[in-house]
This record gives sequence, structure tokens and C-alpha cells, in this order.
Amino acid sequence: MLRKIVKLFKGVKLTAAVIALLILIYFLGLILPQKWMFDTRDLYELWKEKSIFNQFIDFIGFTEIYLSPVTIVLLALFFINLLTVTLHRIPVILKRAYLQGDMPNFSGPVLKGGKEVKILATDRAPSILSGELREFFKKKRWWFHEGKREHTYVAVKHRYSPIGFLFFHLSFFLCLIGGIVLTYTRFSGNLPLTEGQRFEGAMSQFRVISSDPNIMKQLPALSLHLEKVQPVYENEVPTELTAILTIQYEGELSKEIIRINEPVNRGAMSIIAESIGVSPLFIVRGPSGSQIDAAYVSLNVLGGEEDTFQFETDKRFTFAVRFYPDFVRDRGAAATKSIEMKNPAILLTAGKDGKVIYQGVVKLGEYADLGVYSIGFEDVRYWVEFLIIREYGKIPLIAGFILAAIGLIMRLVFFQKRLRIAIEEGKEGTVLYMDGKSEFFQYSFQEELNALADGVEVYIEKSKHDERE
Amino acid sequence: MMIEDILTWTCVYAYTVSSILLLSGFIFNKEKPLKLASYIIGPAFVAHTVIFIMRWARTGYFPANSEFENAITGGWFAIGFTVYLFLKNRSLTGVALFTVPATLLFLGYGVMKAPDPLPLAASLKSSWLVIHVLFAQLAFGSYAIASGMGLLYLLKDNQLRKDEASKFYEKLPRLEIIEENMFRFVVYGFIADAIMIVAGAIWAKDLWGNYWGWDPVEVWSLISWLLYGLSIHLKVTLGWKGRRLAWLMIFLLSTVIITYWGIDIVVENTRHIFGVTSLPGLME
Repeated sequence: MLRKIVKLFKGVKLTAAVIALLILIYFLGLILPQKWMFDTRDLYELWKEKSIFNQFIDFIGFTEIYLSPVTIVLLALFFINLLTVTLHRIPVILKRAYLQGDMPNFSGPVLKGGKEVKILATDRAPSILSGELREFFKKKRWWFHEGKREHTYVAVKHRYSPIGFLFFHLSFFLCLIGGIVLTYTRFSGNLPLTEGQRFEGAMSQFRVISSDPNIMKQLPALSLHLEKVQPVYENEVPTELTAILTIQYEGELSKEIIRINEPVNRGAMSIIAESIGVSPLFIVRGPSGSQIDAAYVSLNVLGGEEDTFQFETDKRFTFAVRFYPDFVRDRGAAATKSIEMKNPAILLTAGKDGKVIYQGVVKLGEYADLGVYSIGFEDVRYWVEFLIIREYGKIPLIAGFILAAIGLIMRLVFFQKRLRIAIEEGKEGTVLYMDGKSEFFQYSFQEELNALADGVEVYIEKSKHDERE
Repeated sequence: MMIEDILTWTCVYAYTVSSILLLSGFIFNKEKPLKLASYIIGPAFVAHTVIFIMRWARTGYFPANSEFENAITGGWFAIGFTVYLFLKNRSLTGVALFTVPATLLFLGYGVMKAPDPLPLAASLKSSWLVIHVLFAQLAFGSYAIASGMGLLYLLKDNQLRKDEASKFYEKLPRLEIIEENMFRFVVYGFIADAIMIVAGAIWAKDLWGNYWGWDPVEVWSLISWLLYGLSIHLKVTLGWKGRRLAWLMIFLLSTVIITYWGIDIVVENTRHIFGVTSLPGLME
């Protein structure tokens, strides 16, 4: 029974079937709605109630398909198959790389009449010829070794190439280890900070925590102070985002510049600049003109969309804001000339108890009259949302990547070519038989074999010539 | 600006004429149109190379910032491999029957979309861009050649099955040699594809904070890589060959085309849209 299971798992047919099924699963992940695509849990529930099919794919976990039990089982099968195949192949690979096992034993002129045999006749004595062959193949960087029978040899190009198979297959396990460690130790949270704002480690400041680690929950002590943000635009394309931060990591203070694609890394922690927005300073004044409330409100309006906020002091009021960084009037309507902060203004829609009480453009330094209160747009700063990540497992993962690349190149570019060579003494002189096999591209190898045979002939002639000299 | 435009249109017309000649050659079993096509493709490739270099020099970044630049770069590799095969083995000219029309279509699409250079978006300003895109286009070029070989194999095999003598098809290499070259380019593409995925993962960590995000483009690239891996397994260990393998190679190229050009068009939730649209926060 066990033997049958092992036989099944070491079979390449199972590998092909599992890979095909994984491909199918990944393809389904592209066409089936996934949980993360729904903005809220309620929307997801609504979608689920729409049809039995939706309920079914939710039931079997295909709305989180990459983590579904079916996918996990397939991945488990994949890795078991990979492990069984790899372990089973180790002795074969060691033998092929001539690290274990016997050398070829040519019991007689078996090479004669073979498909790719090259025959050279020479007047050289076998002992001299074997020395010349050794030198020739050494110069060509072929590994040259004597066979069991006298005057038989094996020459191998890219002797260690079969080990590439082990490297490539083992790389998957390194990636698996790295992936598991990463998943279980990963903390990731989105932290929005406005210019001038500080983060002293309070978890409540995170807008969202997308990954909470299962182990090693304690995060390193980190505090941040966002000093300045500078976006650069060229022809309305954001070409640069510079955020100047003071970072205190485990008691060590430093000033850093974070750009897109240039995160700050401290130990296992990374700070990545993810997105940018504006935080207008709104000041609320009462009938007497006294200040009642004031705050920088981080709004997601730089893309032209509308965002909303409320007074903390009076929840009856709601505000909707559109932002114009370089305000102009275009045929009476509010518009922006560019996305650079040259003449900022907002289109403010204020509501009270569900009714619109004010709508108009408020430029920097201006106030909107809401009756009892007035609200002013006094300043504007940028905010940046940082992705704070803490995770381990990078080393095995990167090692896996490198090993996979090395393995593939060893196996498929520097594939092994083997020659079997036999020298026989006949009545008419010494005859050299040579045949060979390449792991891939046998037809091209035939040309190489011909060239090698020609090369050997030339080399022998050259040796003779040198001797005469 | 003018020179680049002239050269681009020269390439488009040269590839159009070559495509017509190649198709005519194969449809009417005539060798002369094929010969003529090879005389056109060579100079067109030189013009293509000049566009590629001029665009790189003008913008200061590796040309991979728009459909046009991707077509220029991807097409350059596909035609480059084709020219390499011309020089190596004249009888493999037929592979151009696949690569030249394919490059023409991509180039035409790029020209119609946005040929003018765009500023490089902050998200693309990374050393990994060159590595990631270079290997992606290398993989595409190799896979395109493998598909071309697949097509050539089927055409020659069909002719042999008819049992009719044809001087035209006799001049094509033997089926075994076509098949070997097909596999050679699959292997080359597979390695380049693997390096592309790895480089992309490392870049994604710096840009988005994770090595792998199950983004549609990432998933498709994984699917196409796994499919090519599977095809290598099928050939090496299960002994697939001949027409079956040739058909597989022709079909598999579609998965790469979907990854590189298809996903961005049909899917909205990919994070692989750079440059031509904005970062979060940029006004339309």
C-alpha cells in the first residue's frame, strides 16, 4: 500500500495533473468574484444572497480562492509530490553527475555501429592517444575520466548540470518556508500622517491593519514625525513623491527621505510611502467670530473625487469637499488648471439635518457662512499614507529565488553532454570510437560531435607535428 | 521627433509589406517572396533598433512606459530573434511568418494608442524596471519564436502528409530541427520568464509592500509560466513531440499576450497600470 502511494507521488503524471489543477484554480480566481473586491461585508452578503451559485462558491471557499481548502490541498499535494520526486531522484542525479556509482564499463567495442558514432583511425599508440585525448578535452573544459575497461573513457561537459534539478526543486521549499514565516510574522498597517504630525506607536492611529501576526506579536518601538511632503508632477503625471521623516526605531533617531520605490528599512521593518492626499485646515467660528473648532482634515480628493467629513462639536453638520489645487473658473464651473498647488480652493457643500445649507467655492483664507457658524479654509498640507510592515522570512525567500534561477540555468542552459570513447588496437593501427548523448537538442549535438571528432583529429595531427619539430 | 516618427512608420510599412510577402510565399509555395521579405526585414530591424535607442536616449528611461514603448521593445526582441535565426540558418526564414505580423499588430496598436513619450511615473522609477521588463520582453520574443516554429512545423508536416513534392517546403529545415529550435526558444523564454517574475516580486516589495499580491497580471504571468513549465515537463518526461507540441506552443503564446496586453484592457482591479494613468491622488 505504502509502496503504491510512494509510486503515485513520485510520478510525473501526478505533477502534471496537480500543476494543471492549480492553473485552473488560479484562472478561476480571475473570473470568480473575490471577497476583497467588495467594499463592505454587507455588500458581500447582498451579493451572496443573489443566487445559489454565489452561495455555493462561498461555501467551498472559492471567494477567497487562493486560501481555499481546495487550493491548500492541491498545494500540499504539489509539495509532497515535489519532495517525493526530489528524494527519489537524488541517487540518479548523483550518478549522472558522476559523484556516486560506477564509471561506464565498456565491455567490448559496443560503440561500433551506433547511431552517433565517430571513428578515427590513427597510427598513434593507445597510451599516447589517451594522453592527447585527455589534454584535448581538458582544454575544451570537458571532464575526462577513465572507464573500467582499459582505454575506455568518458568525457562530460557540464558534469554538475543534473544538480540544477535539485536546486530548482529545493528552491520551492525555501520559498515555501519563507512564505510561511512571512505570513505568520507579518504585521502590516496603513498609517496616514499629515505634514507636521507625529506617530508615537498608538495602534489607533492606523487607518487599517491588514495583517496581524499570529506569532511574534510584539512590534519594535517606532515613532515617526512627518516633516515635509513634496510631490512633483510633469505634464500631470506624478513623477516623484518625497516625504521627509524623522524616525526613531528602537531608540535610534534618524532623518530619512522616503520616495515611491525607495522605502526605509530597519531590521525586519519597512516603511513605504503608498499614497498622497491633502489635509485642508478648517476653522469653525461661532456668531461672535470666536474659534470653536479647528483641524487639519485628511481628505481623499486629489484625484478629483469628493470626500466628506463632520464637525466633532456638532454632528448635525456634514460637509462634502471637492478640491482644486490650481483653481480657475471654466465657463462658470469650478475647475483646475493643473495639479500643482498654485491656487488651492475647495467646492464646499454643507448640509444640516440632511438639507443642503451652503454650496460654493471657498478659496484659501476665505470663509463660508453657514448661518450660526462660519467655516474657514485657512491652510492646506499634504498627507501621506505609509504602509508599515514588519515581517521575517525574507532570507529563505530570496535564497529560494536565487536558487531557482541558478537551478534553471544549470539544468536547461548548461545541460549535460556525455561522450563515450574507446581506443582499440587493430591490425591496421589504432582506432578511436566516440559516441555521445546530449540531455537536450540531440540534433544540434550531432553537429557538435562532428566538430569534436574533427577537433581531435586536428589535435592529434598537431601533436605529431610538434613531436617532429 | 520627426525622425522617430518617420522611422516608426517606415517599420510599420516594412513589416506590412514583409507580412504580405511571407503570407504569399507560404500560400503559393513560392520562395521568391520569402527571399524578398528577408531583404526588407533586415533594414526594418535596423530602423526598429534606432527607434528603440532614440526613445531610450530621449526619455532617459528604458522604453516600457506606454503601449507604444512596450510594442517597440517587445517587437524588437521578436524581430531580433528572427533576424538572428536568418543569419544562423537561412532555411528558418519561415519563422518570420509568425513574428513579423505579430510585431506589426502590436506596433500598429501602440502607434494608435499614444506614441508620444510620457514622463516616467514615480512608481516606475526603479532599477528593477529594466530587469523586470527586459526579461519580460526577452521571454515574449522567445515564446513568439517558439510559436513561429510551431506554425512552421505544422505547415511542413501538412505538406509531408500530402505526399506531394514541393521544392518550397523541401528548403525548410527537417521537422526534427524545427522541433528542436522550438524547444530551445521555449527553454530560453521559460528562464527569462522566471527571472521576470522574481524581479517583479522583489520590486513589488519595495513598491507595494508585498512580494505577491494575487494581482490579475501576477496571476496570469504565473499561469503562463506554469503552462510553459508543464509543456517542458510534457516534452522531457512524458515524451510529447510533433504536431501536439507544435499546437501547444502556438496556443501558449496567447497566455503571454493576455498577461502583457490583455489584462490591463479587461480588468480594472490590477495594480499593474503605470504611467499612463495616475498614482492615487492625481487629478484626471
